[in-house]
This record gives sequence, C-alpha cells and structure tokens, in this order.
Amino acid sequence: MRPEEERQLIELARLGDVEVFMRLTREYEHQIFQLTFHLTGNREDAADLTQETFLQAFRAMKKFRGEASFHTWLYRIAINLSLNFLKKSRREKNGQESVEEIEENRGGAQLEYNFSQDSPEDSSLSAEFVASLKKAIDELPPAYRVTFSLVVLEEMSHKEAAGVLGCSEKTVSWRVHEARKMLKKKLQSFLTLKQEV
Amino acid sequence: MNCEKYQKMISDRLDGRLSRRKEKKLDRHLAGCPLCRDYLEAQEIIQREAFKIGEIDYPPEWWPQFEQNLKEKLILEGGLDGLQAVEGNKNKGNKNDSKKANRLVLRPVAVRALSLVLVVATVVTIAFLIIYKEKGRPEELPLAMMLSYEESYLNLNQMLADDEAIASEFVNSLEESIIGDTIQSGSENAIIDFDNNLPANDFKIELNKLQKENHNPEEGV
Repeated sequence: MRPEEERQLIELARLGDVEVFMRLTREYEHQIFQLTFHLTGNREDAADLTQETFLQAFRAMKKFRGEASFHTWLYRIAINLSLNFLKKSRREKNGQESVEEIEENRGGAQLEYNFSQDSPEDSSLSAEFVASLKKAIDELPPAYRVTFSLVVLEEMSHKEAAGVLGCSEKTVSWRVHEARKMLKKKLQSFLTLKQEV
Repeated sequence: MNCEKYQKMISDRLDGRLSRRKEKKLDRHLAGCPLCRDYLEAQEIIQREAFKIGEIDYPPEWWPQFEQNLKEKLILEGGLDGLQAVEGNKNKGNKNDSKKANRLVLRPVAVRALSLVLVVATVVTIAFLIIYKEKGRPEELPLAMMLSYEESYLNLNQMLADDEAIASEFVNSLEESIIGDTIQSGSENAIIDFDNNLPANDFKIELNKLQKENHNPEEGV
C-alpha cells in the first residue's frame, strides 16, 4: 500500500469507518500475528492478541497523530498487550516445565515451528534444540524477550526496535546481549552437543 | 582480559551493528582468546537455530473468519459500516459542531453557578460557626417577643402623650407602686434612677423627689 493511500485510509478510519479500518487490518494482520506469536510462542494466544491489537487500535484511532508510522504504532500496541499478557501468564505459569525439564524429557516436546534444511542425521537434535531454544526464549524476563524477539526473530535493526519499544539503541543492544548470555547459559548442554557434531 | 566487553561486541556483530574499527579490534581479540571463540560459536548456533523458529501462519482459509469476527466486534464497538459510515460521519460532524457550541455556552454558566453555590454555602457555614462558637446559644428572649415588648412600650408612650388624664392616672399608680415597694424593702439606698431617655420624663423628677423623701421620712415630717 502506498503511503499516500494509507494516510487517506487512516483519516477515514479515524471517523469510525469499519470497512476502511478492515483494509488497514488486512495489510498488517499477518505481521502482527507473527510478532505476537514470536512474543507468546502460542498460536491461539497470538490470534487473540492480534484481534485485541486491532480492536485497541480502532478505539484509539482518534488519538493517532501520525508522529510514528501506523505500522510502528500497531507494533507498540501489540507489544504492550503481549507484555501484559506475558507478565500475567508468567505469574500463572510458575511451576510449569522449564528448559531443564525438557532436557530430561527429550523427544516429548510438541513443536509448532517449521523445520527444514537439516540433514537427517542431525534433524532430530535440531528439532529438540529449537524446542528448547523457544522454551528458553519464553523464560526470558519480558523486556529481554521482547527485545530479543524483535531483533533476532523479527530481524529489526536496533534503531527500528528502539523506535517500537520507545527506548535508546544502546538499551536495545545491551538487552539483546544480556538475552544471548542468558540463552547460552540455559542451553549449555545442547550447545556442547551441537558443538561436538 | 575484558571478555565481557568483547562478548557484547559479538552480539552487536551478529546484529550487524559493529563498526569496522571494532570489527578489527574484536578479530584481534578472538585470535588470542579461546573462551570468546567458544562464545562466538555458541551464539552463532543460537542465531542459526532461532531463524528456524521462523514464520508460522494459519492456513489462508482461517483469515476471512478472523476478519469477520473482528469486523463484528468493531461494529459492536460503535464503528460504522459502509454507507452508514459516510452518513454517520456527516451527522457526526454536525453533532460535533453543535456540541462544541453548547459546551462553549453552557460550561461557563454551569461553572459560575456552582462556584456561587459553593461560596454562599461556605460563607453561611463560617458565619454560623463563628456566631455559635463565640456567643453560644442566645439566652435572650426570642426576637419576636422582643419586638412585641418594644411595640407595647411604644403604644404606652403614645397613649400617655395623647391623653393627659390617663397619663396622670398612670403616674399616680406608678408613684404608689414604687413608694410602696421601697417602704416594704426598707432599703436606704433604694433610689430609683430613671433613664432620662424614657418617655414621659416630666413625671420622673417628681418621682425622684418622692423617693428621696421616703428614704428620710423624719426629715420630711
């Protein structure tokens, strides 16, 4: 969609036109779903958060002043909703299976990801590793998890992530570094095996 | 060796954020530090595997249902659909204009009225508290009764001024009453000092004389 066309649609959507807002939704729903999935790690939660993101955006359309792009604004809403969701579910999750427990129950992990490219010899190990990596990302403190997901999984630059998160590029850089250190620590036994292969 | 600093550089390198100068510095460090080489290798594996998490999506037929549900919710939220939106936006514009106008007119009046009520209520409360606290409960006669006595007094005054016969009779009865009381009490100092502002002052002087004589009966005899 051209920026000029998007601006016109935003103006109409600000007046409460649902059909116009749905055109904007169709433009961004897959990206928002991907983002919320990367942040929550669960397809159903991601679908709910995607819907809630667009509902909140519709309610707040009158407040949208175009200082950030519509895309960045939607991302911010989705991230805020996801962070709240993560904090809430983190409190409820205490006691659930940790990465260490996955290591003990190898082969039992249920995966929702697309695997490919690995040779048959190491595909099994890779599948386990990715499941454990996802679990380890899920267990990161929310701020680190979101920053890591934006930079590594969403492939945003530090600058873009800083814009979406409303923080400095240095903060993004530091959080990603800390997240990587935490992941390495959590996945040490897998990494040793991988490095030996 | 400050490996933490170089491990941060490794993270920035993986994100494509390391300057050429720092790249060279990091390479020089890696050449001599097996610990950081091991760290780099581990982080490269994590990065590579993280990309495999990759994209996930629902099948294409799932999205129209998602959009339909969302649209229904948006309409429930008060959104306007299609032509309704065009008409609604026109009306909304008019309504907003009249609302703005009403706000401009009504708001200052409402604020002023509320302020006035608050000020009056505050003044009355403060006045009541001050009077009640300082003077306590008024022990004097009620105002209606006081006015009633004053009215009687004025009527009497008027009556005595109008009719000399009545005035004379009144003075005589008053003399008798006072002299009798004074003799009965036997007090030597019981001198009645009339207020000169009282009406019918012409008989007061006589009364005073009589009183003095009655206090010293021997002198008078």
